Amino acid sequence: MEHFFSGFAIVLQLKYILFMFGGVFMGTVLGFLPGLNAAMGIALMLPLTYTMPPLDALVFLASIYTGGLFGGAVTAILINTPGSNANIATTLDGYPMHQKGESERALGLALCSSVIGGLVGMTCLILIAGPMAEAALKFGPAEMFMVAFFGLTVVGSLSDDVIKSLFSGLVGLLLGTVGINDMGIERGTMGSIYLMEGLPLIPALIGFLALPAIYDLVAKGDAGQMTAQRVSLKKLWSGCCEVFKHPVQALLCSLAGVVIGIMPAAGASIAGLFCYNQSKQFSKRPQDFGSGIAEGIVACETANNASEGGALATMFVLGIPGSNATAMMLGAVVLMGWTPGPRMFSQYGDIIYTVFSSLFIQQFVMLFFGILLCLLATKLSRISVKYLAPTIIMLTVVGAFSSGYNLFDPSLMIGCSVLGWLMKRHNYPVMPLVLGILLGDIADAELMRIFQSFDHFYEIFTRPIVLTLLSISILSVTLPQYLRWKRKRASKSAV
Amino acid sequence: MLKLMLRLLPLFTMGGWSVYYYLDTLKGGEEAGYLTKPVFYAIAALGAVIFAREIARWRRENDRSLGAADRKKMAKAAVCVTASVVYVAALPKAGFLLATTLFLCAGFIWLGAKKHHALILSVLLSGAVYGIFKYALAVPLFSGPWGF
Repeated sequence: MEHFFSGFAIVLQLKYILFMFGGVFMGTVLGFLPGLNAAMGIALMLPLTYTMPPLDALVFLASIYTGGLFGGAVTAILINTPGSNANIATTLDGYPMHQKGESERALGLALCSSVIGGLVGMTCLILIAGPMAEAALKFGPAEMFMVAFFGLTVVGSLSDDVIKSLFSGLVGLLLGTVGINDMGIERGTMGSIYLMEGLPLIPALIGFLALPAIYDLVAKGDAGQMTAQRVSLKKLWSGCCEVFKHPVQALLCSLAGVVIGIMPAAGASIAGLFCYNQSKQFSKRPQDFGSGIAEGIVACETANNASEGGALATMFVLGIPGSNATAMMLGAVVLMGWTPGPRMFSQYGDIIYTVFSSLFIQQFVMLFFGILLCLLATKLSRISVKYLAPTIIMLTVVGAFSSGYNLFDPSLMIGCSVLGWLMKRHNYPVMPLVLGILLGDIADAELMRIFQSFDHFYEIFTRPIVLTLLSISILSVTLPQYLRWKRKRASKSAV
Repeated sequence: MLKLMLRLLPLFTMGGWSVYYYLDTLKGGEEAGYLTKPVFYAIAALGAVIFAREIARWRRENDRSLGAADRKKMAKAAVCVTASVVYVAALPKAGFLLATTLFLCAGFIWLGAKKHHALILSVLLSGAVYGIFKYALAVPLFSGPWGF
């Protein structure tokens, strides 16, 4: 914990303040632009972090992540198009409020709720990350394998189509094991020296996640882009203050968001929709939900921002990404030479706690940029797809090239983007594939160690932590199904 | 039929690669396949289910042809992919600055930007990115026949 407090002294230096302002600004703008998100921002900025010290890089990337969380709410409110999945529930009451001519109020509510959710999420992150890591240090190959298994069990819950989700996740698992394994056996390299050390992570992630969104953006053209909206600072501020009329709801939704965020890949969208539905059920006027009321926006914006605190805890402590953005951040951590997993937290605890300190400050930076963003929404929304799309494609090619200084990486990225686009088009969820790629190598290596350490595989189930993780894995399969059922009910009743 | 083929394309691509990977794993002996073999069997089973489901869904559909809107979307995505491939291939030959300027300019104009806007913006953007990556970040971007 002392690292956390001393971390404030470090991140309040001018260099880190500039990183935070730059990152939050970039994340906010990317989150605001339809089709783009924080994950893409992190992907684009990864090449810039190659030469940075780990702390600088993590503070910068975490700032993009923080900014991206609010940016998506602006489009959700103004044009009924969530900037990311996390803001799906924001459209339910945000857009009707905008239609009633109360755009500033809705934006103010979303902004302040995001900051409160973020602060609660980060507080929980600091409180639970340490104990989680302490317990995780007792992990051997069996426990580590179960952690990977736990991460993989959620793939079935990432989409409505469980079969396709599992299929994608398992193919990702195979992709994650490409290269020369711990026994020196070469697998699936097709003779390419560029695949010997495994599938290049960053080009693959950019290809699967970022480029398909650009192709869709090009296909849609400028249709659906934001029309001019004037925002008054006074009304915006009164919207911000209105959140404090619902303190209990804001706190409870934030806490629920953290719990949902801890479950890998359950995600901010489920957190937002779940809390929206719960708020509606416990509200004295449930019939008003969906017509543009403050409680609807407070519920989902506090929950989706708080869930990211939980997602960061699982990423930093267990090495399991809970969203596209945390997957990208985990990729950055791998590029720094860190091994994702419980030992990462003990080896680099001082750096990680300093990043946590910066996350607190980033919430206030986000408040500042959020106000500016709302005021400048009209101008930013005029960035046309015709200028945006070619620029982003060029930057992704440069980003992929910079990861290995060879042309194989951008070529692989383009190949992955075609597959990613086809998958998106035909409802194969991409996130399980990405999760599989990230966890495949760990699962494979730990399984091999299990076979070297134990006479039989079933012996691992005599260990209490393995049994606990197995139980959590089973819960992680069943609970999202329950949440999805609740979400469907919420959506139906909201319509 | 084209609609069905496109629908099955992700399945065949991922499934086909998995078959190749499985066969490659077999060459490595037992140690190579502790995880990959059971995973492949699960992929094969799930792939068969998806294949059967897609065929059944296609048979149920009244309109089995690809709509004009779909064709347009696919054509635009195909242009993006082709342009990216050409751009990557041109980088070592033309150099970063020239290849990027041409790629951006063509992209802007294709998406409807005015020619002079496209030209000015593409030159400025290429120069800015070249400066940042080549000099600030020391990324060895390709130099063309003219040295830039």
